[in-house]
Amino acid sequence: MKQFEPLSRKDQQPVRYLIVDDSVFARKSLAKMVESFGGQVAGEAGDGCTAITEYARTKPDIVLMDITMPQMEGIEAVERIVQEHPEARVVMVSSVGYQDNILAALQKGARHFVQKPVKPDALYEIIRYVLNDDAVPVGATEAK
Amino acid sequence: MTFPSDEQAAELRELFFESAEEILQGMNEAGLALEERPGDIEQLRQVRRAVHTLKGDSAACGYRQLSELAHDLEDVLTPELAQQSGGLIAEVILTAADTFHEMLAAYRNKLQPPAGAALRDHIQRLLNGPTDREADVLADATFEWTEYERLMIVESIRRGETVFNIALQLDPETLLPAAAFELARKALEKAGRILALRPEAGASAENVQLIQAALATNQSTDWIRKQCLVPSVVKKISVDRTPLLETPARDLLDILVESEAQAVSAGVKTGPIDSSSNAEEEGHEAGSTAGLAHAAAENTLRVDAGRIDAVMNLVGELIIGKSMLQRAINEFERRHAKDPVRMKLADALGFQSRVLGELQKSVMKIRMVPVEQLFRRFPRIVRDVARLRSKDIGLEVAGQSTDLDKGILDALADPMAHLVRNAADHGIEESAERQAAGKPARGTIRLNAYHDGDQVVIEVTDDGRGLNRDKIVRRAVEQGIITSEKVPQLNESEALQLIFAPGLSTADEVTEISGRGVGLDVVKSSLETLKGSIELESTPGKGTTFRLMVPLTLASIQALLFRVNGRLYAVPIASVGEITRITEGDIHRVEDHEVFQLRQQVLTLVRLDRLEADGSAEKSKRIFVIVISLGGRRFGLAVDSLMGEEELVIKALEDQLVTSPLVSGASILGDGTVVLILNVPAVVSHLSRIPALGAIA
Repeated sequence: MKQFEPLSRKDQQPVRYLIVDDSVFARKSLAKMVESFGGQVAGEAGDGCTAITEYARTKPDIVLMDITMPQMEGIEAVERIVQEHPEARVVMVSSVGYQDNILAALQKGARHFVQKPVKPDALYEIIRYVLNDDAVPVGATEAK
Repeated sequence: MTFPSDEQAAELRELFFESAEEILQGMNEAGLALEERPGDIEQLRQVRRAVHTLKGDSAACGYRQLSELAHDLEDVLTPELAQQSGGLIAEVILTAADTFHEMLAAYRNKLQPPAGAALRDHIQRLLNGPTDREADVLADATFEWTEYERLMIVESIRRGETVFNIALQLDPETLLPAAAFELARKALEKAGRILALRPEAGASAENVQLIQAALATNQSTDWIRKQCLVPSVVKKISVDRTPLLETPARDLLDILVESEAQAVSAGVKTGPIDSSSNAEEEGHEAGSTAGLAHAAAENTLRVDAGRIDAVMNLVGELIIGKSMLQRAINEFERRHAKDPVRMKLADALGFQSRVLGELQKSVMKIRMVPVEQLFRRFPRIVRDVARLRSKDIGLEVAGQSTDLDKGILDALADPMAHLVRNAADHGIEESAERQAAGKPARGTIRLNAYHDGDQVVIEVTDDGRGLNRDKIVRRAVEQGIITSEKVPQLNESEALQLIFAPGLSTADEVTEISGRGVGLDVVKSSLETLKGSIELESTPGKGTTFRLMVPLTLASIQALLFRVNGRLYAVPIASVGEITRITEGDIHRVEDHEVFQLRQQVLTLVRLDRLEADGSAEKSKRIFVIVISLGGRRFGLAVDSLMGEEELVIKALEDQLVTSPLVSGASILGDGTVVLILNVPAVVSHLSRIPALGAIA
């Protein structure tokens, strides 16, 4: 796998991820990807309910959330997580054809989305963007 | 459009399918031409016209999906887009031809047509513009805000905020434009206060490429850029201060007046354009539904092949009738040699047979189509294979105007495609290998067609690596097609012939190493069904030629009639090399075969009645031998007596009537006698399957 310039948090700690997908294979492949970005998998969840509790437990920097899952769909999970933790950065992961769901998830507070099959380059850029997002005021003052 | 009856509708559909296939062929050709010369606007116009016709015709037949897709395609086939897209337009046209073809096949079989996602993607990409067009999308930004929005902007500026006109180009690759729009909007929201937005939030964002916004913010241009350049969503961005900023002290009234004037001019501008484009659209629809009617009005007739066949059959019957008449007159002449009426009868017969000959030719001509129709398919095949294998291959075509029976032509399509694909895939080497061998980097496949007697010869030649004789032979031995003892007896041509043997063909190793083989036995047998044959020449390192020979028509043949054991047979005169007489004493046995010497050559002798061939006949008995030569092979056919030459109208035999593949058909003579027509290629291949292959020289 291609190596990317490692991303880290402002406190020099590795970026921590929560990966939510009902497919083990998809989780593993996403985990490999974020590791290649210098990240760390803080937790995994196979459904929306677990995702909520895992989020509260691990407090990750980024959540990669599949949109269609059993028990609780990704949209609802996003909504619940963002309600409790407005700072949560959730990136939706979805196949084409769930445009309306993605739209709903974005409106419910997801920060970004990435299309399946996930391309590492695209994901890397998105994560950088989403993370940078939080550091906005600092970057802005620096820029001035 | 209403259909008076189902039958008419069905007929119209049939007509549509036919014309559509032609359109697709045209698209393929134009696509290839555009690939060579992307700037060829005339080609593009042709494609556009064709697609337009297809759109109208398919709509008229109720094939909505096809019609809509064609409509979308038509929209992107503009010279401007073509120039901006570079080579992409050719790719789109070729993809479209494939997609439409699949859709047509589905409609024909009354199935759900494929959605053509690949084509839609292509069209979308073309619309969005992959490279050069990007700048244009941003340049398209007009920032025409409404009066209210202008007021807001002025108000913000007055409060000391900086207002930017921002244009975002969405990534055309995104398959979720609505979600992309939402993300871009959120990014803008975060960057500042959105005073105006196009398209407006909540509007359908299905086909958005360009987002325009007026944003009030205190952030720097760079920061806005960074914030709004959302990865995988926004491809390009332009951030400019609103022009109003330059004159912040301007009176509000001025601005109001100006904006009103702009709104008015915009209204004047958009109003007529909209209505005129509608009118044009309606004109298009009206024109296209008339497309089919127009096609019928041209000076060509589309006739169902079955109707021509019916005429052909009747002509066949007439020919039999003529031969009946001939016999009757012959008999009359014998009985009344002095009767002056016989001259009149002979004249009448002569006249009748001349007209009949003309009639037959005319009907045959109706069925004849130029080989070009067949050859037209191959540039695409060669191009596809060349692309897939990263080879450089040119296709040269000659003799396109050679006429051939439509039925034969159609039946040749698959075998020919097979040979061409093989030549491109296996025959032609890669450029590096070619150059190392001192050949031009670009490989050439040549198609040629010409008449040879009453046969049509079609050649497929490549200048590739040629066949590897040793590998073929080794493989044939391995597969048990020949025994190893026979190998030394094989001459060059016989060794190469092994490539047509069933079983050998599927061997991967041969395919890879020698370069050929998949299903060549199928090619051969399909030619035999056509009463044709196939020859092959190959020089290692120089290339390979396949020569396909097919009769001009399947309806009748000029044949040599002979008797064996009291039964009447015929062989096509084209396959007869010569006729000779030998005595039983001239016949020798080599292994299990009877052979005889003709001048310097030793030929195998074939008897149709093998029961008689057990040497019981006296040595001095003279027998006729018809020397059959076909595809470089010659053998003798022992016959009892020759009956002469006659034009035979071939009556197809139903499968259950004929158990032998050696008989290809039958005919009825004037006196009602039935003649069996020997399938000469099948006889030859039957011979080559018998072990004593080496005896055939």
